Amino acid sequence: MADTEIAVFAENLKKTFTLSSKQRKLDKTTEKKKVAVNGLSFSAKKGEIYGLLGPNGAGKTTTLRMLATLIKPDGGDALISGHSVRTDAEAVRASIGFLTSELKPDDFFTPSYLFDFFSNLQNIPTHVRDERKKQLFERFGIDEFQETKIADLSTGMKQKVSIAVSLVHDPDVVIFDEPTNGLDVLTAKSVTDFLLELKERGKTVLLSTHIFSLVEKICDRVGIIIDGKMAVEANVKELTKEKSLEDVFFDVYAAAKGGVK
Amino acid sequence: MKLSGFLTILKKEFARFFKDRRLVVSLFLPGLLIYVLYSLMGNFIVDGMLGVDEEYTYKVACVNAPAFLEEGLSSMGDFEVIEAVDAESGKTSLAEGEVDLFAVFPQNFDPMAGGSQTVELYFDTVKTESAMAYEYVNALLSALQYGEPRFTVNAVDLSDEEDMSGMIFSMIGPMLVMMMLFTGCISVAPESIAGEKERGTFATMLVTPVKRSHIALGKIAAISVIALLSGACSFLGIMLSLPKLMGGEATGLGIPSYTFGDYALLFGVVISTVLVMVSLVSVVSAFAKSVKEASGYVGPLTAIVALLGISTMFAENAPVGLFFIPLLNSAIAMGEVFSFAVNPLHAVVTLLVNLGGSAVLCFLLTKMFDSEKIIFGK
Ligand SMILES: Nc1ncnc2c1ncn2[C@@H]1O[C@H](COP(=O)(O)OP(=O)(O)OP(=O)(O)O)[C@@H](O)[C@H]1O
Ligand SMILES: [Mg+2]
Repeated sequence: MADTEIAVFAENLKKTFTLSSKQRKLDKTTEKKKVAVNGLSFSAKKGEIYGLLGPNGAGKTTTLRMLATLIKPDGGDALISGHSVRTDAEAVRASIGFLTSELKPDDFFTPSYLFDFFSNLQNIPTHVRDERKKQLFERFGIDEFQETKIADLSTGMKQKVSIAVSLVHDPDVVIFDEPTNGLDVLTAKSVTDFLLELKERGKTVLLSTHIFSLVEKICDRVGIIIDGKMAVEANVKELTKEKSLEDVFFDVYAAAKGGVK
Repeated sequence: MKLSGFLTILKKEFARFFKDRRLVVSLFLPGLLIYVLYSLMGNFIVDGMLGVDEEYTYKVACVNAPAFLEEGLSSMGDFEVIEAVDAESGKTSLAEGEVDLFAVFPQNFDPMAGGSQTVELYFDTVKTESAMAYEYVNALLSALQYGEPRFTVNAVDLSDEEDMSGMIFSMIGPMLVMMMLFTGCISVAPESIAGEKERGTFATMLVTPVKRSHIALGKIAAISVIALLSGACSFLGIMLSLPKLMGGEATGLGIPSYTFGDYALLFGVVISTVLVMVSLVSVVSAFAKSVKEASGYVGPLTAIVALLGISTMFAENAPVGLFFIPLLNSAIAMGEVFSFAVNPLHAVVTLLVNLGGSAVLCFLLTKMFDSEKIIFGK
């Protein structure tokens, strides 16, 4: 590897799900298998924001879950800060922060309790923890709610707490599935601003989205996923030199599918 | 350092439990309900079942029966006074249930005379009729010496009280204890495992470096302690209401006098039982996607546990093979302790089998926590 280090390196990732009869009915298919991710390769450099862009069901969430070691790839591998998701899952978990709307903070606890709990799970010394908690809670305006039960917080504040407690260990790589989904413009902006801050601090951010404007606004590079395959991987600025990202996407989609139906 | 993950999970599980008022109430409620219910039931039982039929004729065997005895007793109820040949034959007829009471008066007994006269009354508190006959005769004799005591009444209870209480305990005890422990465990485990999955909080732990086995162990340990607490509450409820339930002083029934060793053994069996129950319910809950679904799976288990509890009534002289079946072994082993028939081999097999069983289940739970089908299954 050359001058720029690779923070996330995925190679030929594959994931196939076996569908239950209930799911087959729901998806209206008769196929027993669903190939969600089909030989996906990409790499995100240290200190950049990398966006995985794709329509619903493209396999974005599945990919990110494999990177976060929540599910195991059937084929291929990925290295995060040099650790393999297959053979060194624990080290991967210590070096990433994983955020998705499906992982929720426990309603019964307070932000402060959860921050301490996750710090303990990440083996963070107390003085580091307290310093970081103060900093992150101030950054997100959680400090005045830090002893309020999560259940009593607004959706936006909950999302901020989720972000804060998933960064207790100051991870080098932050993986974020649909960072702005379900948030109002103000909260969404504070989240994207924070991602830019992380980048400035040299962190790598890997996010998934189907929102073109988000990619155009904050991503350095983008990988367009269609049907579990990487269709295009490029620098966002270069890719959108002549056309808008949306138009590029339709071209790519048409090429992959043989025309938009 | 190695244990920090386990301890963190353990602490969090306790904090979670005691922050949830609904769960805390469900911990103490069974004990309270048992107390209220059994106290009420006890009153009915004493008034009804344990009472003596109004038509009943008490039979009293007597040596040197004084003339006033039959007269005095007939004013209180139907009594038949039979002359006994000697002390031995009187006691035998009492033991065989031919008479309800056996009384020995001194020759030419004069209740007004004073001096050192002694009346001996033999009876058997386990039999309600006998206990009542004693109450009547004793009342009559007390009435005869109002003012100052002029003779001594020597009451001898021939019942083998320990055996009797032990028998009742060994019959209902195992089932009660098994059900109490199981109730405590199913009020917490589905919430802690299926509930966390349902609410999406479970995976937040899975993306940290903590070991899956520490999550499994931490949860099982915390739920076990809570189930034990809940069981202890129910136990307290039973103990406090027991005298009322069994008619307490009226029949002389009480808690049998077990030795320290009995209690220690019981404690060991209870702990190993709770571990099996908790890890079993945890594994079952891990299959479920929601607390509701988990409760559905746990229902049949409750019935099985109740059946195992009752089965001890038919498991006299159980072969050692039965002690290799988890939970059934607990019920029988508890029955043995309760009926003063402790068998060290049975106890040791029970403890080992249960601990081994929980270890296997805990290992299984760890594997399940690592399975994406279990955690993300749709
Ligand atoms: N646990 C699972 N079992 C079966 N099929 C699954 C499972 N998880 C995902 N899939 C299927 O795999 C495909 C890819 O899903 P995935 O969630 O990765 O897509 P996505 O790109 O995140 O889409 P979205 O924009 O809707 O979030 C979909 O067809 C989905 O139905
Ligand atoms: Mg998704």
